[in-house]
Amino acid sequence: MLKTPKAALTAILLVLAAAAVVMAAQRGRGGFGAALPAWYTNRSVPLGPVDASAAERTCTSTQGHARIVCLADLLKRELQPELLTRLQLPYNVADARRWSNFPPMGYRNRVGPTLAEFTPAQVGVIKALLKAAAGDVANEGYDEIEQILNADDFLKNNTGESGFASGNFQVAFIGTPATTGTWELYFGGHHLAFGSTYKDGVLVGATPSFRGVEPFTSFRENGRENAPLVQEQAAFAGMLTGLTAAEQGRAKLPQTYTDLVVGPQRDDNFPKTKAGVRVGDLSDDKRQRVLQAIETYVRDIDPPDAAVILTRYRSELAETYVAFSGTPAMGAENDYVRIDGPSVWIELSMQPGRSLPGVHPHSVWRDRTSDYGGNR
Amino acid sequence: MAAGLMCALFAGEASAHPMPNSVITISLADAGARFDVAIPLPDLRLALPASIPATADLRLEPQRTALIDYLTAHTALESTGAVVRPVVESVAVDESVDENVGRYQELRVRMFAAAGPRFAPREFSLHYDAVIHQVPTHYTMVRVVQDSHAARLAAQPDDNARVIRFDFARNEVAALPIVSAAPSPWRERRAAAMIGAALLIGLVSLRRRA
Repeated sequence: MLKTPKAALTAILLVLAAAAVVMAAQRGRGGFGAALPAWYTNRSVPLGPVDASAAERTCTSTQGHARIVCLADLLKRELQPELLTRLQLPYNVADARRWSNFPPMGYRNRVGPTLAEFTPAQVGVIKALLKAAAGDVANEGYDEIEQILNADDFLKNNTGESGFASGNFQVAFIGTPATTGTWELYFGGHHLAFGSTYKDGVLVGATPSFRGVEPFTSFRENGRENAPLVQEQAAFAGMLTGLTAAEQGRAKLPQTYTDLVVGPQRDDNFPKTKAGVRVGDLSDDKRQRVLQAIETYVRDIDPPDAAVILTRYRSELAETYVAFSGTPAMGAENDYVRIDGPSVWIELSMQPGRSLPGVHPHSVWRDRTSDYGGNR
Repeated sequence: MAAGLMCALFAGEASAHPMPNSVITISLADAGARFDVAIPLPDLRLALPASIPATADLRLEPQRTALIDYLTAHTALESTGAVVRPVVESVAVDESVDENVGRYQELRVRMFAAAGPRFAPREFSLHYDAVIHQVPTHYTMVRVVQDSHAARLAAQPDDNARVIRFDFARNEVAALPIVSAAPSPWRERRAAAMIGAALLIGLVSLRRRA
């Protein structure tokens, strides 16, 4: 058949070309369906029962940022070199942007080791660190984080799907924790992104801050009742239903929003023009409701830093706008609300259930001026 | 299925659990450009005019004509200084699957724009905002999958997919330029050889299994 060397060579080249085409077509990108990286062990590491007292005693003489640095140094002390390399990263915004609402099955670019890779004592330090940085208000801050992790264990136990587990959440220091220089404390996973950026010992950015949860309504997991975002939804619903019909008409967006606008990897997607009803045109009690909704996000960080940010947002309230699409009750699929100020940006989108029946919220707190500490 | 696969490929870009994105696959040839459009029905229904009942079968009249009118109104091709609208050749509804939302209904439409004095199929701007105009968080993946001039085949790596989305910063949906490579006899022969080699591989595999 291949009687001459030239014919044989042509045939070989054709076969190699075809093989390259076929192999390229079969090359996947490791999305859903592909095996998870080894550090996602799917082991549950619920934070509730973790004993953080030893860590808290070690740094008890410090407070504020100094306490956070003390706890970060405590965690790094005696950490295995491989874990330390993954935990302690040089400061760069590219790594700070590597957050998502997706579980590991949908997004596997997060930085930092997973909770399951640490010893129980080390997890105790991480718990103390989160309490120091996120505050300890009921259903906000650290408590909200603990409940979102419990939700992942609930999904693991009720769906059996690989990828859900509290132990899969990750922690990283992007930049060296110190009283000088810039660094970010990152903690995140499915439905969660916590990132506080400090510069020379001062908090310069508490956003982007993503919160979501499925199931949305109260559920029992890891020995407690959990409903981490019910008060957020209630605050938004109270804010919108408290408007008059005419105000709701001005606040209602003409389009349908099925997702967040400034979500993960959409850092510069802020709308050019503000839409909705201007908060400065509302009565005092309605302005208070807007503030209450804002507080459900800003109080996800330690109280002194939250107070500073709330003072700024309060001073900008007159030029802040509220808009929504769907229904003001914020309980149906595709119900959407945003608060858009000179600085503050908060959105909540009611998503269809992915793993369970019903709806579940996705929400993000951004700041037009200080996302990632203002670093780009 | 195409929309689901495209969504999986770009899982790192996606941000939540809304419906998957729409997908437009473009085939370019001297005779014209073919557009295969896949749109998740739940998002499409959010965008269709109120005159189309929410549960109506879009393949049947009078909804079919209304749907075609809608798609035509939201698709324009600009080249050689003129604007043309592709002709809808077929409308189908099929089932697709996505990891995040499970099974869902998908509208599949084929459109064609013939080459002529007012349309150059190898260099034009695609103005497309179906669904996006009403659901600004929806986006559309666009990919040229067949172009003999560029020796591009459907089986090649997805290295030229682009996105049509609402630009909130500019408050607009930007047109997407589609520019094909200049004709090249070498590229055309290479494309033909690759198709032939792929067929050869397939035949050899079949013979082995037999």
